[in-house]
Amino acid sequence: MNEQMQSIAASLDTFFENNADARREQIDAEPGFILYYIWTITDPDFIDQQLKMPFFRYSREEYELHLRSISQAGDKPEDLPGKLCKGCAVILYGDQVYTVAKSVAYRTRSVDTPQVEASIVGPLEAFVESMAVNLNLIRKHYQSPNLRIVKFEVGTLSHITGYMLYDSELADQAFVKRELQQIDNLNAKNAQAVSKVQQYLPKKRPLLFPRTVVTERPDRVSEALSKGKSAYLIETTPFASLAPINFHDFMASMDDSYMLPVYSYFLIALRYFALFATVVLPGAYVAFTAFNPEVFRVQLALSIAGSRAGLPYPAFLEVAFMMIMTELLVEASLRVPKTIGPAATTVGGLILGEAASQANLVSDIMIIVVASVAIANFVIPINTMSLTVRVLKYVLLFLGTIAGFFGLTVGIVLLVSYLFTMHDGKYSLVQSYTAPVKFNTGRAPKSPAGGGQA
Amino acid sequence: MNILFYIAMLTYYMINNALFNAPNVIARNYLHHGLTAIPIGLALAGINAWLLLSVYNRFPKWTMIEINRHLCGKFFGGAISASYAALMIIIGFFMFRGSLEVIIEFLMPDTPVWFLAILLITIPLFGLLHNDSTILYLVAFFTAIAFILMLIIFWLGFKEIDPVMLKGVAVHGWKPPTVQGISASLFVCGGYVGLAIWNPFFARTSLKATLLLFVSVGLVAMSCGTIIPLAVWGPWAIRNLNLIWVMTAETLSLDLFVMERGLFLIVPLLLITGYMGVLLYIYKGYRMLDLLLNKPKATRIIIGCVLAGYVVLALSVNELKVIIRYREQYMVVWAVLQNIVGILWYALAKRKERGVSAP
Repeated sequence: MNEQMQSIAASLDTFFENNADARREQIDAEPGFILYYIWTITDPDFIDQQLKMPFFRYSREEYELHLRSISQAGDKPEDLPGKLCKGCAVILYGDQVYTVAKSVAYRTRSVDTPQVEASIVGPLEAFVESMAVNLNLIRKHYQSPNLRIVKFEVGTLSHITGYMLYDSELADQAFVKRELQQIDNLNAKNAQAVSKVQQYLPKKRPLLFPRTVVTERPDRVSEALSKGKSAYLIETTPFASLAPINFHDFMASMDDSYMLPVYSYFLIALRYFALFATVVLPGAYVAFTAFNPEVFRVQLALSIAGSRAGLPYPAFLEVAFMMIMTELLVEASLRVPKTIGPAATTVGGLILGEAASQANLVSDIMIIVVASVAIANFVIPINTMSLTVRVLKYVLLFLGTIAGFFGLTVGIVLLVSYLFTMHDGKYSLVQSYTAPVKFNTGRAPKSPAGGGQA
Repeated sequence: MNILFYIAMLTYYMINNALFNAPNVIARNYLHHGLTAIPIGLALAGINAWLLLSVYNRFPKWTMIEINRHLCGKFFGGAISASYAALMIIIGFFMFRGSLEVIIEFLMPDTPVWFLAILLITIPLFGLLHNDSTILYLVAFFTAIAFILMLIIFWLGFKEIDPVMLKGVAVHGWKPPTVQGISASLFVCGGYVGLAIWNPFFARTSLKATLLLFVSVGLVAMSCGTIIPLAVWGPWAIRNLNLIWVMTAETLSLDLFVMERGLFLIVPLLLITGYMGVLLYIYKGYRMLDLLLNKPKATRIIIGCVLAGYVVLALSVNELKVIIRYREQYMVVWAVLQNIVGILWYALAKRKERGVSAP
């Protein structure tokens, strides 16, 4: 070994000092063969059969040829620790440094059924935390030669590998280029999930409405690619993010395209109704019971008033109490171990529903409203939008509480208005992807003469 | 941009003004001044639209500001543009105060007006987040809802018509109209004024579609909007009403599952058109000032002051009759300016064209 190799070996030894799962194996002293790898993220069979055993079987020239065929040479010494952390084996052999990427073996689960986006008649495969498996699934669903896959890295500290996918014929190249630029400029220290990455991609971080659809279904990615959208995935997460999107993407399930038109349109209409109901109902309950009961026909108004007769506090407290309890129940059912989850929700549901009503803490109608809101909330197929809607209803509840029906309508108009202002580049959240937005024509020219005339 | 958005913009104006502006002016005096205002206003609107669209289509990439500068010169053109911006802001206030009046009277009688005014002002304030295209999408969205509500209201209104009153309308409604009546019916079709901002989005705007819309939606909405309340209330009772359609809807009986008062069908319609009206007029005023001054920050400050002024003025001007009277006068001023500008533009554009084509 020459001096340069010895200094590389010394620096790798230093790097290995406090890494308990790192291995340094000196296979032969002459001409010098040291093997470095991190055993927890490498394949032991590969290390034995492809790196160690051939050394004893082949001649020196043959082994060099073998190493060249499975590795790459010429990595800078300062890049070697990073390569080791990505599961590569580093070999110092003679006067050469070889980096073997094929040794990487991240543990992952096998392909499973979708956990978040269930389907009745569609494929039952979902992404896993392995890029090789995920890309395999996408390539299986989208076998077009125009599919392009661009590799990138996110996280200034975590250095997670990701891929952007798009159809070179259908996608808006300017949009793809801009997305890749934004990914390059991404300044997140530790990006573990695609949902986190998508927050940092737009110039202004979205506050309320997500800017991309996050999906675990390869068929949805395939569908998006065929519509000219781009998808990006990162190594550590079983989700893909799709952009650009419009609002309807949040309300569309993959089953819509698999089912007969009438049935799928019916379901879409049902989902929009559920969206409206879940956002508006809590605010409407307060507005119509506390401020404007005259909106309802007399029998219904009396029935609601009768139901609330024994309650010791105003309607907005009743709604707020029940809504927060329901949120706690939903959150608890997500976090508790699956074995006790059903028990927790049953007990919680019984207490909230039956006992609270009997104790005259909430009215019967309120329980119906809260149950409807909760059920309607879960009808929204994309989880990120479902979470947004969970928050939105409190905005309208607040406005309904302070200004009744008037506040409620102002809230609805403001929400819709805000939704209409959202856009990702030239693609608005409420417009068709195939009809990009035309933006302001700009400032008035200083001189009237010029190109305005036909 | 799709012509549907232009149609939506015009339809919004028609619904809003045919139900909440024109009936007040025409219906209260129909025995003296006649329903003839409707066809005359419509014809004038058609001529004015033809004059303006022919100029707008000649400069498809320009807004009204640039066209004014080009045709009328920097100062005179600037003055016309500024007066349009001012008119937008003024009518915005009438919409604002009108909507507030309904809210105070029918929804929140015990709540302080300043609080309601501040809450209402958030809608045009949010409008400043929009751009020219997104606001058109927003208007189209709410116009679709308003259109459906309008059809339901008209359907219910027809059922309440008193044949004796209708006969009276048919007999007495055809006498020479007043300028106010003509202006009000011209105002109903005045949605094409939006081209002052959106001309680059719609050019070349179809005159045929515009006129067709005047006749199909404008004439129907205006006729139904005026005749139904007249035929429900009669000539004497209607003179004492300020919010004609709101009071007419209150007489409608309906059996709509959870509702039994027509009032609560018209209130959402009125709120939607009111909100969109304030938003649209303020946005147009804002954009015209923005294009005129070319100083975004200054324009935003001006609009902020205007909105604050709306709240203050809403507290001091609280007599609905006074607001309606001012709005009538506003519509006359608007109609006169609109027609003068139409003729002026057309003549100047022709002259320029001859000058360019001359050897």
